[in-house]
Amino acid sequence: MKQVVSLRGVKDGYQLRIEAEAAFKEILEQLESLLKKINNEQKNEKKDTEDTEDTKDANEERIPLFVETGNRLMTEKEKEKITSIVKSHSQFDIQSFNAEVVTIEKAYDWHEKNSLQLKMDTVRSGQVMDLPGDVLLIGNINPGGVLRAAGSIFIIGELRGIAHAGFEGDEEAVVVADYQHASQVRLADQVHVLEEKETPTANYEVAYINESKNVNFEPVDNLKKIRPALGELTGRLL
Amino acid sequence: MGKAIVVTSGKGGVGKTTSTANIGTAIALQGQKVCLVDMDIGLRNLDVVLGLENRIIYDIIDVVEGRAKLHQALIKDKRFNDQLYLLPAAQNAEKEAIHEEQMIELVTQLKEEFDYVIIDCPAGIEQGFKNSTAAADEAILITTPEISAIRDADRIIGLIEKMDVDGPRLVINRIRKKMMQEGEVMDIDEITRHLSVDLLGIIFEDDQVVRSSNKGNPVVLDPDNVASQGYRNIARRILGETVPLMTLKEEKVSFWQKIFGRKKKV
Repeated sequence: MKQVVSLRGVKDGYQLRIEAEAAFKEILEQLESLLKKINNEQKNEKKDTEDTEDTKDANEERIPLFVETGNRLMTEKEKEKITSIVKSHSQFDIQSFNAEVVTIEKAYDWHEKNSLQLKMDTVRSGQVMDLPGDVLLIGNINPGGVLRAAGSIFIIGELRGIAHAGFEGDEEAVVVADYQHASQVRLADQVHVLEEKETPTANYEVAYINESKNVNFEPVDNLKKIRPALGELTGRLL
Repeated sequence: MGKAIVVTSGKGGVGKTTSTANIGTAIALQGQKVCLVDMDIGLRNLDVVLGLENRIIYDIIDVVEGRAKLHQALIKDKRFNDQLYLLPAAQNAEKEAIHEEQMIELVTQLKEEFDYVIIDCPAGIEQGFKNSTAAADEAILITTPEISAIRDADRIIGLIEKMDVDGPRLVINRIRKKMMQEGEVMDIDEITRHLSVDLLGIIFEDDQVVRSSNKGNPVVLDPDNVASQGYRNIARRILGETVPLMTLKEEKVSFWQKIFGRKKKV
């Protein structure tokens, strides 16, 4: 019979590897027998050392176990079954279930949060536009309009309303715009009010939070120096 | 089947009622059958500016609550050869006395009899606005060059863009030429560009509008008046004609000024 569960030691504890293609029933059977075998071996060892008084304490010690399911996504019920078997037949304490796949839903979500969305719209007075990632707005934000992004905001158009980047708390988020007009820039939880410039300069600047936790403005040419990691996938999924 | 047009603005006092009365009358003068509907329930005004207030027997709420049939509430304006009718608002009711579904039913009935149903929307964005826009096929947005009106107009456009209503098309009302020429208010292009909507027409500020309205006569009845011309042009554009925009007239430059320096150009 093919072995579908295997145990091996890792740096922080043990790893329980479960074959992705195996039938669940078989997994449970093999897991139970594997754990029983280990248990018996341990009991025999203890008999040899004759440490009967300390046996109870030793039994309470839980060993960290990481379950690897490979290309299989386990349901909550399946995870519960595995957890109960491990709990009742061994001293292992499951720390996590890890898979090498995710659902399509989660993948789309990840994609949304990490991608740059293009919006060709004008945000009008009283409207609030919410976006989960970075956004390139080709259009205006009118006075009274709010554009909120969990990531950064890049505006080709007039900013006369409120641009709020990193609104879920990301202080790395920036707003790049031509700050000619009276407006408000918000980065994470910082608010900066801008007045109308006397002489329109038509030049793009980046608003960002610096090391002193203040909102700073610099010519957009310095964007790479200020935020070198901008736009790179940071593996926020896992 | 006729067309329902809502005249809205957001801001109060910019000229919705005056525009509804004048545009409606101008379209009727062009031979179309028009019904004006006053949706300012509680405060009604459309009947006053048309000079029809003493002829009201039933109003829109009487119709909605079953006390009168629709044709009993309609008032025919005798000046226009059976082409212009008014469905007045109620004074002793609130805007919540009617709902969107009832509006849709009512306006659908009206559209079977009339070429144009023009709905005078109240100020604001609450139930009155919702009722007025519920049954409209297209929208006309009235604004003045003042910043507060423009701000509200932008808000309204945002709301209308999310509805199944064409437009809105913009009318810039109460333009004071001098202020615009001297750059003290946004000019026509700036306003249109800022709001990003199509311009339907412009109306110049004129005392005659107030005078004739006080007498219950829409100013379009005076063909020589400049505001009247603006409204007539708008009516023609609604009926599909291409009519050039009226210009802010250039001030006459005297001979000596021509030699020694020009006055500010429009």
